[in-house]
Amino acid sequence: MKRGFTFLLVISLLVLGLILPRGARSLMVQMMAFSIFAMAYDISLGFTNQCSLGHSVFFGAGAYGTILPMLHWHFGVLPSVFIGFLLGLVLAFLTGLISVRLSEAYFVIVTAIFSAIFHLLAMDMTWLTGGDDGLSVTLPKIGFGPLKLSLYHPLGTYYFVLAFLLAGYLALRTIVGSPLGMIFVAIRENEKRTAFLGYNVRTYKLIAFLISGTFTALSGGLYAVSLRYATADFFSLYWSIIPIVWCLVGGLGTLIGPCIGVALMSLFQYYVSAWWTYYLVIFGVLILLILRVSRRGILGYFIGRGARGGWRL
Amino acid sequence: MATLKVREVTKRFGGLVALDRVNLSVEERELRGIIGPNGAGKTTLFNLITGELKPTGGKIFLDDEDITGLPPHLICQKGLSRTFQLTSIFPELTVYESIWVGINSKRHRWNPFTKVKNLTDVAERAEKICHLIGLQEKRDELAVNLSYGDQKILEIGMALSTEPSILLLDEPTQGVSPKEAEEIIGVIQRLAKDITVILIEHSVDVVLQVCHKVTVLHEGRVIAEGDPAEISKNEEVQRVYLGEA
Ligand SMILES: Nc1ncnc2c1ncn2[C@@H]1O[C@H](COP(=O)(O)OP(=O)(O)O)[C@@H](O)[C@H]1O
Ligand SMILES: [Mg+2]
Repeated sequence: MKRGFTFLLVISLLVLGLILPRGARSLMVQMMAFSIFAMAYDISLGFTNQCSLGHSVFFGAGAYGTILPMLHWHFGVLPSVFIGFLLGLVLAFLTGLISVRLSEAYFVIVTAIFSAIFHLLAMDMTWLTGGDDGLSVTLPKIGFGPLKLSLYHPLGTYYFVLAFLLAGYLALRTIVGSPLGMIFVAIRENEKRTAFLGYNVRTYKLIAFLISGTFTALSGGLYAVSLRYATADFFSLYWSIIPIVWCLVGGLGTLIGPCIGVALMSLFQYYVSAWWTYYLVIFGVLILLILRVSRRGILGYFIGRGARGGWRL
Repeated sequence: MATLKVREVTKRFGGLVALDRVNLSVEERELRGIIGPNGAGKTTLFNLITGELKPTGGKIFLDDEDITGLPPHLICQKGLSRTFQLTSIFPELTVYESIWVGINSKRHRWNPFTKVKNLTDVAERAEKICHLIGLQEKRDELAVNLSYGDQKILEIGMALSTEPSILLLDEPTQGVSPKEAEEIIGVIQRLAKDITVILIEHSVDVVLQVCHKVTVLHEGRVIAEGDPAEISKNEEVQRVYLGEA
């Protein structure tokens, strides 16, 4: 049944690209890029109970890691996205090395400090980042042998990002269903007990943080590609907090849940912000309501409390 | 050979001396009981042996290897496993999964490209332990939904799942019904046929009944050690327990 559901979802995503009007399609592209971010973030928060406020670092780094090689060295889109991905890996390693050894509260604070430092640096180093105004880039065509895909074609970006979303989901899905995923969940459930069962908890938390940061960078890169633009604002605390909202609303400890959170929040932001500037107020109330009804978010509500396979979805 | 030696171990918490130059030797396949009034330092002794706390002084040896101050996961990998006085379980994992996690720690560890259910040797072993502790019918229940007694049994199963040569049990029957306590003691006796077990128990009767040898702690010191017959005759032990009552 679950397999059928996934299949249906993939088909509808494929078809939607063709039938959606222009505006809705670009909203969809944005949601797909964010979905990778949301799933990646949940590996940190929902699977290993590491509440990071530093993910804007990886999001921003992914965006610039992707934009700069295209801008300065005329790299292709795919190699550039890969460079963004690697930059995320490196930064997640450096920041993770320092932060995973900290207790919960200090972890939150230190990762938030990383976010603040990188934001300040990005704002300041305008020669590199373009600061607040950001940098625009012209996307080269992507060549598959004789075939050339232009991301300026209305469908190009859609299917480009969709391909990464599916690949990202499959990769994370594999990890979550593996022994490593089980260890992550054990750490979330009871860190101390996991250590006393013979696991070096710090190492596993670092691995989770690395996976999380790297895929976040991928999301940043794709988002920048879809906008053909990156700004220092991608490093701001907003991009560290919004994934928490996605995960909480959609359902912690799952992969699909955070995507549902993204969809809901993006649609809401898109339609409500158009007619009311203070839409954030409704936003907040909505989040509280959802969490009041179901502590485990929307998906958690449907699969039931502590349902088997909750973390497998 | 799985022997545990605790040599002149002292633990101070600020001004409080929780353990004072404690010595303890446990032989292979022994079922050792540790008793003593509340606050005697029993749990602290386990915390020192398993690496949760570092001793202020003294050394701990496992098979003549110095394990003093090693982190818990390394001590566990060397074959020492424990349960906790206040149950420490994985609330939202099932019985089977909880045990699976322990077994996996000694085997495949973390390969991200295989599926959990493809590790058949781990699965088989997990089933076996579910059987051994008598929770096979509840294998798919979440730990949090078990009765307190079953949680205590699950804890023993989890400790066992790492395939220890020495098992440390901290008051495994505390707070459970008499019937459940009997079941738990039964499980412990079965285990003690194959591995070394050190049992902290509140009920002196149980300890005197099932253990080969008993150590009595009082105010951080070992005040008596011997077989159950000797301990029940020991005057100082009687005084401590009568004094408490
Ligand atoms: N982490 C700790 N910090 C401070 N004091 C402690 C700590 N752990 C135990 N103690 C103290 O050490 C003494 C022995 O405690 P414990 O080992 O738990 O006794 P028992 O398990 O025999 O009842 C008690 O007085 C207790 O308050
Ligand atoms: Mg105790």
